[in-house]
Amino acid sequence: MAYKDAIQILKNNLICDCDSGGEWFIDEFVGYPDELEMVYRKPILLGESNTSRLLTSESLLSDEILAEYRIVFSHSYQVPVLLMRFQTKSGRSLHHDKLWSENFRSSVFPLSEVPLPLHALSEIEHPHLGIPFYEFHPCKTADLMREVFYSQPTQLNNPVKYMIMWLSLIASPFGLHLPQKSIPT
Amino acid sequence: MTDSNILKRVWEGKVPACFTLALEDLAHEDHAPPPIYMFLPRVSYFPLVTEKVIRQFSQFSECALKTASKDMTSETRGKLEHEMQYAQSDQIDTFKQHPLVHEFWLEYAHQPLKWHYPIGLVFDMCANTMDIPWKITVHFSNYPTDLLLSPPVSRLAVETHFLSMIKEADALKHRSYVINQMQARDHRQLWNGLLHFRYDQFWSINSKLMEPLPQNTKDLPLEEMSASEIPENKPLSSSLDNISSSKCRTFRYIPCRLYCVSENPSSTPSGFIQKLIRPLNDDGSLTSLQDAIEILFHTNKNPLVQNTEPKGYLFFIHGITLPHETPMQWISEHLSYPDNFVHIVARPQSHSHRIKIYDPS
Repeated sequence: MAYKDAIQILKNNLICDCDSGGEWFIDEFVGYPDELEMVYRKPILLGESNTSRLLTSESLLSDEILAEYRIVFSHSYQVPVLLMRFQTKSGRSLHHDKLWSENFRSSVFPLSEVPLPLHALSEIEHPHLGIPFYEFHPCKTADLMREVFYSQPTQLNNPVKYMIMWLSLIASPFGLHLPQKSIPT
Repeated sequence: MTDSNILKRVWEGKVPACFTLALEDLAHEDHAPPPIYMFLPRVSYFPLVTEKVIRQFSQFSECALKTASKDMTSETRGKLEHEMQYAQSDQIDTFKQHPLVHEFWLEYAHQPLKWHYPIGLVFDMCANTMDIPWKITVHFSNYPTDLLLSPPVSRLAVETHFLSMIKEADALKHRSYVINQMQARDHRQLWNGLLHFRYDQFWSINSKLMEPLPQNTKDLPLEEMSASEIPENKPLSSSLDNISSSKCRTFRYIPCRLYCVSENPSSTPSGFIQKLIRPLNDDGSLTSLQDAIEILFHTNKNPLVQNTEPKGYLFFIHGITLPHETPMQWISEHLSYPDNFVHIVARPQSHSHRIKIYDPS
């Protein structure tokens, strides 16, 4: 319940500050009112240095790439989980495209950022949608968040502050950045 | 039947299947391989038990022959080299000659079969028992990337998924305590027990994951428990009578997923329902299968179900229906799949041709 309230508050702030091309919204599933997910979709802006390599793959010719981020709550681990999906504008999944996979990190994350280890990502089936998503595995998230809030333990129980910290630590390395104005102080 | 006999019967469950190669994948239309008939173990996974089928059919596949002559990308080669650590010596040539043995997909009645689901679960979801054996088509081209997890479809991919499921199940049952206390060799033994279909090897480790929390400390945070408080080497002594006692030992939550089969076979892809299921109700009584189904359906808010009870469905676990009063704690200990989840399939009654072992009405 606290998670639902937190993403509602965050979503209202994020919509106002959305950068051009991206959109935030909350996804609901028919018949399952408790299973809310915060969703962010944006086109991928490919870096110049990657263009020549990606163009060698026929499937990527003249097709824009869309990234979809989903924040779902794991009842098993009692933490938020980041899911990601990449597809062409026509809706074809890129997870199987070898050239895309090889350029995954350099395309989505600028070289200046420190990439997370590849083993941090795995592919799972979305529980409701039944289709593949990349997942940052949640089994260590609770420990990580407790460490981060060690000096201010009361904030661990503030859902909005928790989600902002979680987004900064876990989501932004994968290209899901929070606009600075969205962070309430 | 004793509880250990039930575990063995579940482990040994089999599904008769017939594999044929898809027509569009034939290198020569007049040179089709004969069908291959197999008994598939319900608790295992397609990539683990179909290696010989795939190897045989790939020799007749036009797509495989073409791909074998192409240069493999560095990532594919790296993955294959990693796979070889798990391969038996007589399979090494297969990797070199036919890389598509890891990009096959299986189909029944025009639906791709999810290879990361246990075989028995897939069968309960889609098969029609009036049409035995289960007719499965093998494809090597046009992998449905929007529906199935990405290739390579391999032992390693299954192992990764399987261990992830066991870890999630233990997060629910023991707040990850038992799985985190295990040695890496224990994880390997769980996997090898499943891979090589060795019941005793698997259950000598899995019995620890099926140990309920100690009764006197079940309400305490697990961090405060000392190692000596965890019972060791206790035999599987649960029985239905013991579970019915007022002070039974239970898991923290029951690892449980419900898969609803649509009446319309061409509907959009869907996944599963998973919620927190406590083994005890608020009044202290054991949570029954019926209680769990009502929680999973969330009937007071779910417009998909009209009545207070999901009357239109039959609920299958390992191909059978159970008395609705069966305690979920007992089901979790004895009718889980090796990934430690209870996978329940809800099928519309109109679509279920099975002889009902137990009629809930």
